[in-house]
Amino acid sequence: MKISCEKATELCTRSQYEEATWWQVIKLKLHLFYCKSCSKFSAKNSKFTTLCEQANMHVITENEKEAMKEQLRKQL
Amino acid sequence: MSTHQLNPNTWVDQYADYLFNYAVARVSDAEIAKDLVQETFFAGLKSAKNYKGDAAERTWLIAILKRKVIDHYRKINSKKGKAEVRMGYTNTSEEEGDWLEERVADPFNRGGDDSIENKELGLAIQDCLSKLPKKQSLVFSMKTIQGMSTEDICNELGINPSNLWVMIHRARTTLMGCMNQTWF
Repeated sequence: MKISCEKATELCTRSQYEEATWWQVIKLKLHLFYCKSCSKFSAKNSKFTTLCEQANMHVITENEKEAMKEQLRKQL
Repeated sequence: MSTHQLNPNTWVDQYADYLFNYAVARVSDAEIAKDLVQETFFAGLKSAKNYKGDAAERTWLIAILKRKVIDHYRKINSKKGKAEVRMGYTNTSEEEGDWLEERVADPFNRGGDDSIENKELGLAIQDCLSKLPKKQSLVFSMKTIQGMSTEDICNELGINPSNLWVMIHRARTTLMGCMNQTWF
């Protein structure tokens, strides 16, 4: 049942994407119950998820970047 | 003496996402924003000889992009009915230019509304993201920004899920550290 802080923080990251199994979630919750520093990390991690959502970010896909590079090369 | 140099070969990898987020926040259309970024790189190449090296490469490119955004609004404005365009702003052409520039939000002029804060937030994350190892930032943005499934990412990059989570976890930890003072 007991997991290390390292494992706990990683599970915490998985759960940010809702990809931790229910068993992993239980192990994480238990760990957070007695571990203050991981609770702190977990709160920060959740806040970061919110920030990422608020930021409404966009990326250019790798393929599009390759096309851009190609265009630039032509100009060089 | 110049302190900064231009390396056009690395522009796309280093700045495309940053410039893209800057543009998308201002023109609200991904396709147009992408074109503006590409045009910015072209314009950068063309005027590379004018680069004096007193601003960092990215700052210099942002300055070009800003002009491109302004030009974009000028263009769509000129397509509208003339009456709409000339709504009581001073008629001399120079001052009209000034007015349009003021319309383009400047990240350094903090305003009260959320959308401005979100523009800054996106750029702040993007800035921290660009400091990560290439693979970490790629995995992070595929998962977080593009919202791809774990399986798809693993297939595309040829990694296994536990690699993926380790990388995402490291990326997030570093990003949180990088953004610490201002945003938490």
